[in-house]
Amino acid sequence: MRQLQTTTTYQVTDFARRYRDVLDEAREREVFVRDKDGTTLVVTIAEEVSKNRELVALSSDLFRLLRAVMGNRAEEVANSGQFAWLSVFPEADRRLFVDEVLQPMLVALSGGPLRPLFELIEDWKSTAELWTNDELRDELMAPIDTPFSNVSL
Amino acid sequence: MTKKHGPTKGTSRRDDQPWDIRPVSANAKKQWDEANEREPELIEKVRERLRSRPMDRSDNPKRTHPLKGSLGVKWVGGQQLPVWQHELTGAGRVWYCPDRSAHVVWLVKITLSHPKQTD
Repeated sequence: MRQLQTTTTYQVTDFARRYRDVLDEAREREVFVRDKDGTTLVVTIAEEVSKNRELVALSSDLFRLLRAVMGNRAEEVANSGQFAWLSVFPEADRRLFVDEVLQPMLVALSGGPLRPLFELIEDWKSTAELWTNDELRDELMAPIDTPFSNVSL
Repeated sequence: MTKKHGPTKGTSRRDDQPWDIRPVSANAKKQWDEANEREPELIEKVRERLRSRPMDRSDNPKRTHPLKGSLGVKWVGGQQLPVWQHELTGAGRVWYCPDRSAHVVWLVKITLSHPKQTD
């Protein structure tokens, strides 16, 4: 998502005359084109629009998750759209996820990079897989008081 | 007497030196040896990765993760360490705890079968 910047508005006649300049500018930042009936249209990179839509959908689901987690309504976590997989975690972990995801989400929403947000979500999703296997989870959680470690692999 | 290596606090090693890979348990060593017997080339690649860049996810961030929440930390020899997972293949996984201070990768578990299946 690109940072918010001052937006240029072109009249449709300018757009017709200087379309190359307008399109080149639109690669750098959003450009407005005002049509003859007064409607203002936006010219921008389609990928940016897709990212924004994805972020809006993610934010919406995050709000639903927040409501469920903050209200201790575990059963609602399963209905939190893209975050339904969090229902496998214990409550403390769900709260930790909310704590961790808010900062990169705010950064993404303010025009910063999306990668830290998506990477964090992927990390949690991978961890969620392990919660579906009790034996494996217990094995991974068992403390190792005295490591068996006089050998290198 | 064989010297027993535990996690060493406060030691600093140069980052360009290879990490030492050590099993946390006899079972972890057994799993490593069995995996090595079945897939020696694959395990050699894993060994190289863990020795040189255990926390590097730049080549494929979807295959190397720090675990999160209560599964994300593990007590090893009195130290709380992060737990990482690397996907060896579509089915295989290795879990390990990098100890930065001692430059040791503690092998917790390795499996060539899918983690959703019971080993």
